[in-house]
Amino acid sequence: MAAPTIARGERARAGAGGRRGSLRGQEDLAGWLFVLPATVLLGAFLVWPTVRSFWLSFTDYRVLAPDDARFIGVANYRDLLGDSNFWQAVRNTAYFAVVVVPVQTAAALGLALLLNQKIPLRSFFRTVFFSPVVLSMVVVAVLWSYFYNPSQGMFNEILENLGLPRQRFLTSDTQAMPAIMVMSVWQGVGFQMVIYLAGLQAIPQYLYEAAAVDGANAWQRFVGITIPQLRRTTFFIVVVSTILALKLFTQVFVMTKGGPFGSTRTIIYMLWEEGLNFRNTGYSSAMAVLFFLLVLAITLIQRRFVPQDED
Amino acid sequence: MATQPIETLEAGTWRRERTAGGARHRRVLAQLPTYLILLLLSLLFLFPWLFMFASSLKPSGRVLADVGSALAFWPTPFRPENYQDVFARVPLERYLLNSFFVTTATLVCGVFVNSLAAYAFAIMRFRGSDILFALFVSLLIVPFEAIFLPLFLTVNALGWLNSYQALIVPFVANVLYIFLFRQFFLGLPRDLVESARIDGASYFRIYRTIVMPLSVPIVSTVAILEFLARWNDFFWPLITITDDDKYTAQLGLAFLFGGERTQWGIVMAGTVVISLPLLVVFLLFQRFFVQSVATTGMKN
Amino acid sequence: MTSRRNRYDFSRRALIQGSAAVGAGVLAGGLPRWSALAQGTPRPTFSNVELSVWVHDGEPAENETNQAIVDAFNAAYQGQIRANLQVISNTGNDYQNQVTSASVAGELPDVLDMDGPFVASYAYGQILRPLGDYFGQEELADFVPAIIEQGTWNGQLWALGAFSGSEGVLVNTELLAAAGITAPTSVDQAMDWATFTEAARTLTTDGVLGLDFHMDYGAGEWFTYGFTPLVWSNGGDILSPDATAAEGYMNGPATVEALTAVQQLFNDGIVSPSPSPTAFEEGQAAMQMIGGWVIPNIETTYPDLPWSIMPLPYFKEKVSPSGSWAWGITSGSENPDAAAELIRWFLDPQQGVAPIVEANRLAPSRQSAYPLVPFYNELPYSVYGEQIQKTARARPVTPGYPVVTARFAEAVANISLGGDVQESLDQAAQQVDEDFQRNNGYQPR
Repeated sequence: MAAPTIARGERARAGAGGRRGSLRGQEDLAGWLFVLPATVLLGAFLVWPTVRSFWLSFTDYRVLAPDDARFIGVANYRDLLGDSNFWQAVRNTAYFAVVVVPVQTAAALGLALLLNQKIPLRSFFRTVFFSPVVLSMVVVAVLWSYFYNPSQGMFNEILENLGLPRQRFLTSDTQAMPAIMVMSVWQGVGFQMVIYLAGLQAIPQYLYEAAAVDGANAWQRFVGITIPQLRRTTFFIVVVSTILALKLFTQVFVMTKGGPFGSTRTIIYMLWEEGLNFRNTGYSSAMAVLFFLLVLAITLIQRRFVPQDED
Repeated sequence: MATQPIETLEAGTWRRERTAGGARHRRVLAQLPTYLILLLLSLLFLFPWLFMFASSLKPSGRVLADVGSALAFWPTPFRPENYQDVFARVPLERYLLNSFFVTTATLVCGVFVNSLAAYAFAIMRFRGSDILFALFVSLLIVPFEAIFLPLFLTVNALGWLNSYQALIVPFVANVLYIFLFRQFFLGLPRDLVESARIDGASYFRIYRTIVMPLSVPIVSTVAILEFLARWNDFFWPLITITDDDKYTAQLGLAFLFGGERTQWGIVMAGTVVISLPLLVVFLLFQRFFVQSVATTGMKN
Repeated sequence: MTSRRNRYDFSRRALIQGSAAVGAGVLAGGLPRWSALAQGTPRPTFSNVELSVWVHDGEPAENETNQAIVDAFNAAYQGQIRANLQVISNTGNDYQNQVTSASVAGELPDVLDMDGPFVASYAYGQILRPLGDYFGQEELADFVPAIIEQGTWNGQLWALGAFSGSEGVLVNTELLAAAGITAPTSVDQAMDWATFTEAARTLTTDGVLGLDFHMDYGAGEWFTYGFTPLVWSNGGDILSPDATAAEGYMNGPATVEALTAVQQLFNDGIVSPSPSPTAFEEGQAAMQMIGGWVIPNIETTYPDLPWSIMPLPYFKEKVSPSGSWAWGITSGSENPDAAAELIRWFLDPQQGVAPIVEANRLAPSRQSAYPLVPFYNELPYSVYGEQIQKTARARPVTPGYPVVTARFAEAVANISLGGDVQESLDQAAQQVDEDFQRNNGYQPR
């Protein structure tokens, strides 16, 4: 950033050196007061359910007969680790995330660069690219399943008119997941694009001017200035879209029900199916706990690889 | 995209170039390929919308029959009565009002609660703040689908089932929004707060009179995110609300799907009706949303 | 809610008048009347009892009729019982999910509409009260056996429905005539599998499929409902007779044989694994194996389509599927007697069965109701009616049904896409059994 900002170290120094004890106590009290509403609400509606979910994973709780629940130790976990469906779900979820996160991030940056020019109709295009984001995923998935229909769908008609072979899309175990990926990127990319636009506009102009004076070409400026300046934005986008990708559910639920041949079964889909459809609450809670651990691990790994300039 | 001259990106440069007429023509020519790309991309992003609009204006039986041809994008035979039918089939106006109330209430409370917490994390230094913030951030990974049942039991224990509270209160505090607010506040110039402190302003006064007025972009961002999430939520209202006076628009839409007998023309009309408010919200807020973070908070 | 009801006022009135006229005609003809009143059993008296009732969201005509039936009930029981009907969304698993959540919250209605295969899981979850106290043997004898079977679990009756779905083969008469094929119209003359597939093969031309299974519905209840009768017909099953194990049944030799025969149709391009949803309606499929729910749309949207119906083909034994929504009393109801009174009204041939069947076109579940709905004596509905009365069988009754149907449907989907039949069914059977083991075989508690 161009202007000095409130970096943590400086604040710490100011706090320690510039104030007296009573002020410190006052700030403690005010600080806690300010975070209190959020803390209470998160505690009640996020932490407590999570803890409870952890507890349920060691029981055979069934939602229609809650009083019959018994503690059964790690039986759910043992079953789960031996469940080939679960491992398939883990692989499918990873496949989706590994493809969608980079593709969507790159596409979002591309769109943002296109729109980061002072051109007429800019806000029109911005709205157009963002527009799929406002549609509910259920609606999007229903529409696209008809577009993807192999015998009568729009996409195969287009392919045929272009002289290309028809595809099986959602009825093929190799194409179903990529078809869901394409649709997901289409639906979500506008959002990341907008965040990148904000990030791009925050890059100080003098950096580009100075580089131009030094004779750097467009590509060099892109690699040397734009990319590094967007590091924080990119980190944010990657972390958030990774978490979203790992939670893949609605598309699968509407379009494929995990098929064909289990090729689109994801962890959350399986968790939902076991928990709500089959009412195996304990078993699905065990899945939830393993999912937390998985996401936690991935987030920690990402933090290692992406250099952070704060904290 | 990277081949575009980057000097033309900023408003100042653009104005400078504009003064010379010849340069302007060259610019327009140089932009032609960009426009072509943008137009093609627009088609890609718009075709499901076009399909939706066209389908909402034709008899239900034609919708799926046309999906494989160019007719999919053309409302023929024309049947605008779908829009009347959708309101006759379900009291969508009532459901839209419910959605609007629930969404707005969550939004208003959410902006306050989350920004206040983020302000404390970003601007203030209090004992335990680091640990608490780390804890908050780690909650980002909890998927809703994994905790909905215990959450449902909690909401039930509070006696909130079948009430608006069930749709509002659990979603007010949001870790992602706290994180976003904090990031934004960390980017604000330090002098603003420091000098106000020296003048004896309380932390809450600084929050209210200095920090929040500067935070229009981030409030807009959070507002759009929250509006999308709440408006489009289907699953949670489904399991917590059985009294159809309190149904949200998404639940109302579900009534239009009837398995094999789904009236697609009417469903599409309903979908258009409940999707448009979101587009309007985006159009209203996007100006602030995309507005440069640099030009609001960072100008000294 | 109120606003939605008000919109129906006009048509509702028309319907009440309509069904009253039907009732009067029947009385004049001297047909037996099956209501509780006519049986002479002393009616318990009630005073100002309020009943809450959940019904699944159906077609508009069905919703209106349900409301009309309840209105008629309320009028007949003025000052004694007042039932409040609430329509609950039935998209995907919405209805089941709402029942689950309402049961957790203790907010279930007094009278609950339930999709047949889920009755056992609700009884297992102890949210229902047995109906045996309210319906006597001679009254139950009037119901087709498959409907009693569907509502019976652990030796007790938990739910009774006014109607039942069935499945037949819709045929495009023009295409069949061109190929010189005559479609039988009674169960006696039903085609055996070889004749049927030969006909389908003959009917398959460039651009027209010989047969359609509506596979576009996706892996769900339809696959179980639609394909289990073929398995039964071949002497197989998807669960053991006591409904506790899948191994040896879902993947047993008779099941594998039947589904291998089905797969052959996909392999030969006679049936499409991903058809257009309107293949039959648009004349792109000569025959379609499907339930009666598609007929209203064909009649309104495709009036020019020349179609008829024939009974299900068979391997060894003539079998047809059955089942539909049924009424039960919740265990938390404070007024079970009044609730039973309302259910009896819903199941009364004149007050309940005839009007609702008139609206949803599903087959009456009571023998005595058939004379009241003349269209069930004519094609196409006579085929459904005959099957329901002669060859119908209920899907497996077990609290574990959600798992059974999900896994079997998944296997059917894979088989339609060319998956190995034995392998797909082995996997499904294994997963069902694992779930049953986790739940101690869904033994009653």
